Amino acid sequence: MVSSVVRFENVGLRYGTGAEVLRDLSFALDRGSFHVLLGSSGAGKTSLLKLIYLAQRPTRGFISAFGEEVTGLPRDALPALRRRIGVVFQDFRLVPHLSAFDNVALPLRIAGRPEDEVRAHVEEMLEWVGLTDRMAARPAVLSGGEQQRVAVARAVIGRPDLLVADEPTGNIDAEMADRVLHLFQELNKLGTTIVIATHDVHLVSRLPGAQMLRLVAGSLSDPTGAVRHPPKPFRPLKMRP
Amino acid sequence: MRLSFIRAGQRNDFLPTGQGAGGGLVPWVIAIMTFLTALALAGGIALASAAGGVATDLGRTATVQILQANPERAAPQLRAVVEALRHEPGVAAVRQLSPAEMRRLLEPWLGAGNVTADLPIPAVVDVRLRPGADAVAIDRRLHSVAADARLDEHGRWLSPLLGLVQLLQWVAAAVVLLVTGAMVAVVALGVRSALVVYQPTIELLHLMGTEDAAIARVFQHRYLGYGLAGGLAGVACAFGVLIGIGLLVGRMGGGAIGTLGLPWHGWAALAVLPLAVALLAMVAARVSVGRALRAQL
Ligand SMILES: Nc1ncnc2c1ncn2[C@@H]1O[C@H](COP(=O)(O)OP(=O)(O)O)[C@@H](O)[C@H]1O
Ligand SMILES: [Mg+2]
Repeated sequence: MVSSVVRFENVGLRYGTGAEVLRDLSFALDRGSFHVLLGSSGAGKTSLLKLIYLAQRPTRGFISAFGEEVTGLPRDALPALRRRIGVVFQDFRLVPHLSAFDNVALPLRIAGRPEDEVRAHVEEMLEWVGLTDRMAARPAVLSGGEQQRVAVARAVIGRPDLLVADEPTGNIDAEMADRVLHLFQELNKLGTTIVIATHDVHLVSRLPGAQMLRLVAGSLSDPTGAVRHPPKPFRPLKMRP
Repeated sequence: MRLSFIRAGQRNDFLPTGQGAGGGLVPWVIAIMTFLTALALAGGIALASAAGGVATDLGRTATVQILQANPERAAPQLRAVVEALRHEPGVAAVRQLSPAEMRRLLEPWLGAGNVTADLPIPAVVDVRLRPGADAVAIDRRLHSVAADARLDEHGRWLSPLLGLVQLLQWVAAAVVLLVTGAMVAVVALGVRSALVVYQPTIELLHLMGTEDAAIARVFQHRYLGYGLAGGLAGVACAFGVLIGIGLLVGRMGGGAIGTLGLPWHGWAALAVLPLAVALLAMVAARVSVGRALRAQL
């Protein structure tokens, strides 16, 4: 049995008839690992994350999640897998007519948790991201940073098996960014596999113990490259014979 | 614009209430269409029952008159006619109207007291025909025994009227069908515009692992509510109009128009209509949402 939570084999992706945005991606994310996906803007980070959180099918290659080959699964098998994944979207994707509280509560309510449990969890989470006094506010009246924190709170509240965060610290100050990263690390200690995409090289230095994936123009660059940090090497997937 | 949010007891109802995505208009359109459907339905059923009633009352009855003013020449013809009718296989019953009965029938037309003994009263025989009896053949045979006898089949007077009633019934049925079709289209359009407006929310819930059925259920419930509200309002208005018509007809007094009332199964059909409309709206919503969701991964 594989211990990898996500596994890519020769994955390629193109949108429509355009050029390949992602090329020949082969890697595995081990259970409980913490990865930083580093790449400049337009390198394909968001596209790669979309494949991971099952929002997109690859144009070629194979992807498995939680040991299941998802490229061949029927679509009605996907929701159960998606519920095990928390996502911080680059554009937040908060529901505009729901309050911060109700946005954060969504994953718990989708999972059908009892309402008193929902209330306690959501209040605790909003306190942790410093939004206790903004609980009833709708996204439109929240600042970019506040929206991002709501998005982070919503992604982690269900204690997902896999957390995918697309530039989760792009809109918040350094202190709050540290807080959010600390939250991710705490979640990671509880066993959640984490992937954070960022174009910010300095973020890596704030995450000791994180493994790095470096995306250059749609390809994973040599994992032994200069930016590698920490020393723990990225282990490229061996091709099947 | 007032919005309600996901709360306890409304879990997974992620749609805002209020004027969301044409939803505010949908119940009104449904109400108007239900109103039209209800009137067409009631009209069709009332016509059917009135036509059916008149046809069974009059359709198989006939009258034989002896068109002879001289009572001495009329009397033997009358006897011959009654005798002949008794032996006709197509005749179920024969009843000769007495002069007293005839006077009573004539009085409302001529005025009380004007029907004097010297007034020449035609001899009349009431005949009830069996189904399938050939009235023309009977009339011909009566002629051979009584030269002045004439058989009038009441149904013959009625047949053009019945044809008209039948045509009106078809028109009513067509109206019901067309309005129902338009209602389905309106609901489908409403759902589609709601889907466009809520596309980002729906996609998000989808990516968070909400099952298609749960998303469809939200729209289904919403449109079941719209259908019930619109359906009840439409049928309530139709009830008002029908009761008003009933009162006016009642005030005009009995006679033929008095039979134009709505039979009980007509009222029952109207009472069931809002439920049917609500179910229709619900199914239309479910189909539209299901189709839109299946287009996503
Ligand atoms: N939905 C899409 N349709 C077409 N092209 C896209 C789409 N999303 C991204 N791209 C293209 O794919 C490339 C990688 O984009 P993206 O994955 O967003 O990169 P990053 O997140 O690293 O900035 C870009 O050239 C972008 O224009
Ligand atoms: Mg991006």
